[in-house]
Amino acid sequence: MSSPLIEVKSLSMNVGGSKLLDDLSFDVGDGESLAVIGPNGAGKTTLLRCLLRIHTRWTGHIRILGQDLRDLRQRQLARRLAYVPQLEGRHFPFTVRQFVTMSRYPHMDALGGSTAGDKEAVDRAMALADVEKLADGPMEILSGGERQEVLIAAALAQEARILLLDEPTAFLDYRHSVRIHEILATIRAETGTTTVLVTHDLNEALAVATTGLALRDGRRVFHGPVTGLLDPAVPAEIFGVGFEVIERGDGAPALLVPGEPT
Amino acid sequence: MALSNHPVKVLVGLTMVSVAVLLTAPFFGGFDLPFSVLYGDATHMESLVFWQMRVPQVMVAFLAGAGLSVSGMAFQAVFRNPLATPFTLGVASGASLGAALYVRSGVQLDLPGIPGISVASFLGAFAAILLVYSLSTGRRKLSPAGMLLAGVAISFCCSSLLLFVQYISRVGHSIRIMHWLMGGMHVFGYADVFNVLPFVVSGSAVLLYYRHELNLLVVGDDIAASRGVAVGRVKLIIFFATSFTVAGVVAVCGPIGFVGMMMPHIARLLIGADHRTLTPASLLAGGTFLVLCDRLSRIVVPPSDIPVGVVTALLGGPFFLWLLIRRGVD
Repeated sequence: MSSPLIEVKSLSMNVGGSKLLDDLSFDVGDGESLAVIGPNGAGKTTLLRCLLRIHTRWTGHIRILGQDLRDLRQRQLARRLAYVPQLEGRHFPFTVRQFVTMSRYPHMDALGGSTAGDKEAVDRAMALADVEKLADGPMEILSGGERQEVLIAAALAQEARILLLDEPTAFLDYRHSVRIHEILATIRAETGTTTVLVTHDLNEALAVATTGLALRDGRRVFHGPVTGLLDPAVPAEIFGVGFEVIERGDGAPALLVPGEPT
Repeated sequence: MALSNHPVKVLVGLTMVSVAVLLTAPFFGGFDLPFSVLYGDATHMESLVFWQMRVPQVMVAFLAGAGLSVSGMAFQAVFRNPLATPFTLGVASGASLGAALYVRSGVQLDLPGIPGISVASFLGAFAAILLVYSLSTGRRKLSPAGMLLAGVAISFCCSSLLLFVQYISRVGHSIRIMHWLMGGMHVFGYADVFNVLPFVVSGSAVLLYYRHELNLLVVGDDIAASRGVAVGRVKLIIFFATSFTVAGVVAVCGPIGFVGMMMPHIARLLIGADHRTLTPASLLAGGTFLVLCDRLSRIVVPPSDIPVGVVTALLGGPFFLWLLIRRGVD
């Protein structure tokens, strides 16, 4: 078994006296698909922002591909770790191709020139996320679903081994959510990219992830194969709401339906 | 807009317009000069006006306009706000206050190649932007709107302090401060050209170097960081470069409004938001615009010069509105 791509040990973060993350430890192995689950304010996004080194005032240890996060330069980190942010409230005054090409930044030389390799990576990423037909249009006119696909393409163009996604379907309708899930499955099948996906939707976690990590108030309340979430006691502890398990048969993952507050 | 699909063509066009304006502008002013000043067929007075006044005036105006415009462009990118400019963020008034304090102190302390008043301006400008920025990243984070308000508040504080400094100054200093505050290119000879040049050239060079980082900062600090931009460090360098540029301009020309807000917008409407082409376009557009405004301010009511800021606002405002409406229709 190869060593884990992400190692988090005793990660804590305090802001203004409140604990956003509290002694959190977990590993993410090569090729794993991890869903980070939890209610609003559980620390999911904070965790991602620590991994991306947007937050730096944390304690504990984080290793990315075996190297201490604090020893990596931001560009080195970006070659290992790509990120799909939340959609809300952004302004993208670029065409799709311009925006995706901007992701080649960590591979640029000091003069900032782009190479043939850059163009190939951009084309490959746009093909994987199926946004080639949008390439020359401005991003401002895209629908939310299309924009999310472009954000995924842009992260792929970075050619990192790890892909972090922050609630990629939170603002999307069912059809577009399913499309995002299909794209993620394609990416994993074709590139073997390790994914860490933040969500508060248990059924999304069951649909796309192999492993689940559940947070509540910054603490780990569950970590294991994602099917472990199907024990109703587990989601009840995470969200403080009772859940019912609906089996579907035919190999489709079971569904969790919320019920009474516990 | 169709134009921005061909950024290189737009850039070539802008360059040609700039060159044409720079070459012809020195012939116009309070009175027109014949082209013969170039081949020695003119009176000594005409030749003196051309080479010792008009040419350096045009050069200073171009540098000042280019510097203010490119600084505004960088602020708009970093703060992701169309209203972020050297003025709304308090940088220009910080620079003005620094310069006024220097004049009031009566000290004359020039570094080799850099006049003391520019150093004082820079200290004021950099202090102002750091104050605004620390408010925006501190424990109680300010929203972009809150940050602009903070910038405006700092700007007003600096302006009031400046009036106070002027009030308690001796008459000679006071008049010098007031004269300078009205803004404008009261240039004779090439000393002022060389006082502005290093600030604008080095500041612009830094911003050109960080064109990719500016593109990524426009779409969000988190995206920029995840793509490999060391956001905190890069922002600090950009603030340093812009403060440096604004200070160099303000120390010589006084605070000239409007150019830093509108010209980057106009450049963006013409060429698009990609800073690889937007940065040179902002430089050219701002420089050319201020040269034209400076010429007009001397032509309209000869022999007196109206403050160049009056012209910048009157010319740029309607043009900007026209571009906005045109884009809306497209």
